[in-house]
Amino acid sequence: MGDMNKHMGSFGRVFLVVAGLLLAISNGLAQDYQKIMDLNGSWKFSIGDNQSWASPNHDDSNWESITVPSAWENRGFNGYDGYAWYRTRFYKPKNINKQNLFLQLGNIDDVDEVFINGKRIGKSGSFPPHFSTAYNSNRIYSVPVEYLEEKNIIAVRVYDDIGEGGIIRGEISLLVDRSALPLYINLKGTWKFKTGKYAHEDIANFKDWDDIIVPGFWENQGYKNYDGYACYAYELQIDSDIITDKMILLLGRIDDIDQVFINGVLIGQSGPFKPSTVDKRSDCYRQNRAYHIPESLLKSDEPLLITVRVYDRSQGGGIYKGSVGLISQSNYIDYWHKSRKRR
Amino acid sequence: MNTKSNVHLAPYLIILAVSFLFQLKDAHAERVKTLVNLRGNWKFSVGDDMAWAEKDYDDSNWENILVPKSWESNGFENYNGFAWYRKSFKINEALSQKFLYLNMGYIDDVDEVYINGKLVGASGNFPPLVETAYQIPRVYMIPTSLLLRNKKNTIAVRVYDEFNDGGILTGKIGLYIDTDQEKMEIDLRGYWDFESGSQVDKGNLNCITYREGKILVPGFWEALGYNGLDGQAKYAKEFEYPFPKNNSSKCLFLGVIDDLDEVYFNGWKLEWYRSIRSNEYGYSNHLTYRIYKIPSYLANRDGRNRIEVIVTDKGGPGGIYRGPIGIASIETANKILLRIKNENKSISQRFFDLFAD
Repeated sequence: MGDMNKHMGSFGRVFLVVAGLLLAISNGLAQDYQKIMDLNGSWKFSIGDNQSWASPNHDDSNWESITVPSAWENRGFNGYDGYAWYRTRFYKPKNINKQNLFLQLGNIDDVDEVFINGKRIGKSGSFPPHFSTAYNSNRIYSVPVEYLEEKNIIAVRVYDDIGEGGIIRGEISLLVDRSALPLYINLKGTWKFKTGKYAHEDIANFKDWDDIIVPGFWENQGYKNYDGYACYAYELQIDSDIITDKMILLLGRIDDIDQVFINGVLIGQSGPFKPSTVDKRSDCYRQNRAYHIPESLLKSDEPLLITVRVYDRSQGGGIYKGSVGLISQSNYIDYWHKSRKRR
Repeated sequence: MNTKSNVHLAPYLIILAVSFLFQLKDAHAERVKTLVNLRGNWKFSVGDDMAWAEKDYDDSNWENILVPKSWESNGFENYNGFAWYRKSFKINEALSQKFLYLNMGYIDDVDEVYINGKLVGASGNFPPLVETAYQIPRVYMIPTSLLLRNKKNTIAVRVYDEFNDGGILTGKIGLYIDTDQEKMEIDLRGYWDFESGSQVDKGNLNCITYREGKILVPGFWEALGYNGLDGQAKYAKEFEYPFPKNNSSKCLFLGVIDDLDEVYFNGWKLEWYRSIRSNEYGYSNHLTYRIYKIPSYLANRDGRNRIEVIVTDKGGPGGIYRGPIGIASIETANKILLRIKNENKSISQRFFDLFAD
């Protein structure tokens, strides 16, 4: 970049700024975090593992104190590998009832599971016996505001395999994301997946299909160089009693076009969902998908089977980016009306 | 004329073309009276809820939005999907005509329009199988009886946009009265029999103006339940009219038709009344005023008369789309023709003025 700057006139710089602006605009739904509370500092700490330590009622007064973030090896637990728990308290920030709250825990070595007031809000990596590390990802977990009370307890269960362990680095804080869509049910995660134009006809056996992480290009998940049709499936159990609003299914961005069913009922598609549709809408891969779910489908307690057929003409394919989940219409309206005011 | 002067002529031709367009607009204005101008601020919400069609729904915490203009340029960048517009208005004057015209301009992609909670017009198809009608000017004929005098009326517009610009984009927005229609001795607007190769669009079945096998005249058929129809369709209407005994001929007004038409009266093909097709600047079928002569011997004086109109649309919007629709005397036809001629003349006047400078 330094070299580039040297050779670039002011016109080039202006161009870069403009290009950056355009990028910012085109990412209408990008995240926009803002720190509202610092959680760096002294936390309660105990090695060992006990599920009851997640509970807000657990008495941690005789636990050790530890500076967060830091590797526990540097705080008197040199050579310790295995389970440990962290706990801290915070007061509910003011005026956050309509905000999208996130807890940022930075880098945790290796695996963690996080509770607020005893309720699990997220997990990264995998605890033994199927251990896998997530040490290099910055943990940002969505915090449902309804979990919060006046005084709140965060409990973090950590497992370290070898080397440094714990909440080791990062900005430990509460964040709000004014641009985030407040989802009712987040459907990011593992979906079922099958390639082929007629994959959807095999939906009865979807449980035997391959796993795929949504969102993410299928090329990065074992389908290198695959273009054409594929089908995603996700079975969702909802409690029809607690759904009081209309629901919208968000599928983030899809490359290139899609056709979406719930329990076999078509709820939306990109144009006529034909390969030629891609020519007519060359930028459809950049559109955020939002489909209104017919209310009749939400009235039963049967599981909802979401089926997304995708056609990708070339390069990256699939549900690849953005918010995936169910959002209530009132939250969706709030989101768009608020985003307007910011501009 | 040498090459050089040809080059000088080019700007004039452009100005001519532009002034011609303005002239068409003026001509339209002259025989159409604005009852309510609906341009300006509307209430707006993204999302979809049929309760928002209701006359007294509380939209006070909705956003304000400028109409006509895409919602993207109103600050809702990147929004696609459902949205609603609402506005209330008052009418103080007494209305004599049975129908008014609601012009909603161009809407991208699909719309349903409610007045006081009643569905009065719909174009395109909502999800899951979206069909756009973005190229169809939304002109809906509204029964006057629907409007409340001296009280609040509410118009609510349900819109779905698939991609790119969305909303009520451009055009005239308002309620209009066709003043030429008042010159008709018999008003032939309203329901005509309609035959075409197409099925009625689902969304139109619930319109208060929908009747099976019929179509409201005038109006683009795309906005009346036949969004995908191009090609031929047949309009027919039977009516009683005591033609005068003095053997005087009458004129049949069929407003403006997109694109071509053949007209039969009691089975006989009618001829154009005078040659209003040929003016010195050529003509476009879809902008030409239709006036046909009904020779007195064709009229069924005591019983029913039947008009059949076969319309061929070559693409884009189609049908008998603008009034007046009715029967009037030859004198009335002459007056209207004279006015059109003057309108045309003013185009040529402008043209010559340019060269006189």
